[in-house]
Amino acid sequence: MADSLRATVMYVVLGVVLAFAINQGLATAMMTDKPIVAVESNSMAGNRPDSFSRGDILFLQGQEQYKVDDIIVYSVPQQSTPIVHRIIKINQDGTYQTKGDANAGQLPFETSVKLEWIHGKVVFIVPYLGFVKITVTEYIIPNAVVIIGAIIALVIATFGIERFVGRKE
Amino acid sequence: MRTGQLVFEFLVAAVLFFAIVIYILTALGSAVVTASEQSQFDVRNANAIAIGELLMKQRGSFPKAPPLAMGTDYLGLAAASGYPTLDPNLISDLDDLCGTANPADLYDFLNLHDKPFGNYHYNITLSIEGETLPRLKCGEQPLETVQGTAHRLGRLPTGELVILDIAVW
Repeated sequence: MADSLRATVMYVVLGVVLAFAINQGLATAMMTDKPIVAVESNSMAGNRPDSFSRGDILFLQGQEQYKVDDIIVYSVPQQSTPIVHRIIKINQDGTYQTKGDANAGQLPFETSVKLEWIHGKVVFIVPYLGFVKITVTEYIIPNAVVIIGAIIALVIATFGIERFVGRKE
Repeated sequence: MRTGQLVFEFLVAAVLFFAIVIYILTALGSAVVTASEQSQFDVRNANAIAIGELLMKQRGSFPKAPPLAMGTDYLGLAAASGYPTLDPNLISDLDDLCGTANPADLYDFLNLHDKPFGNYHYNITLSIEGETLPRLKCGEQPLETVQGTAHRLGRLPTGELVILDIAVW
């Protein structure tokens, strides 16, 4: 039992360390502070080959300049959640205009996206893997009390059955 | 322990291990949203409707020039006789105020400050039926972006129809 618990803790720690290492390595290699992001909504879903949907994971690469048709991830000042939209125009002052593929029009903050707001452009898409994060943040964490209670009940029931079976033998 | 059980436990452990790695990777990179047009429109439309209600139904008390004081000044054009009658003096006072105030001076009063993706912008236009020019213009020039609008009708104590248009973007 103790060995099993120790092994479990070791693997969890290994997973955490591995994730940090991959993140740091990719951040350096791809020249961006956010090399991997998960998509949480659907306005880039469409028929284009580089469209993506809620639940997909995006790999980003930072660049010195971006061009029309690049899909970029950027943070609007005072807004914690970054946006992922496609560049549709480059303004004369060097700022960018973006729009979601599934949106009919632009949002007000999309008419002048500054270079320093941009984390990178999307270079690779892995479908569905982002549902791990969505599941944890939207379903598991809000129901943490119920889930922990169910696990405790399961453990107690398992030990109870083992003791009962052991006594019979 | 049987071989099948070992394989099953290994599979469960492997899936959980990779789920931890993927979750941490995506959590480090944060989730991104695609800022769907519909949700952005809905929020702005709700604000435009709320401003319409405020102007139509609240009897205002505000200076002809800034500054305005929260808690003591109130925007609103309603006449003492009540909805949907509007007070021409208050219309004139608000027009004077808008002529001297910076549009941002009214953000707090119109609840357009510190919204998702920054401050919202507004345009309020009040026309009297039969008059060629609007009696009141307040706010900024609307951008060609997603915007919520509200269209309200009232009347002056003398009976003329009042048309109030509000745009929030």
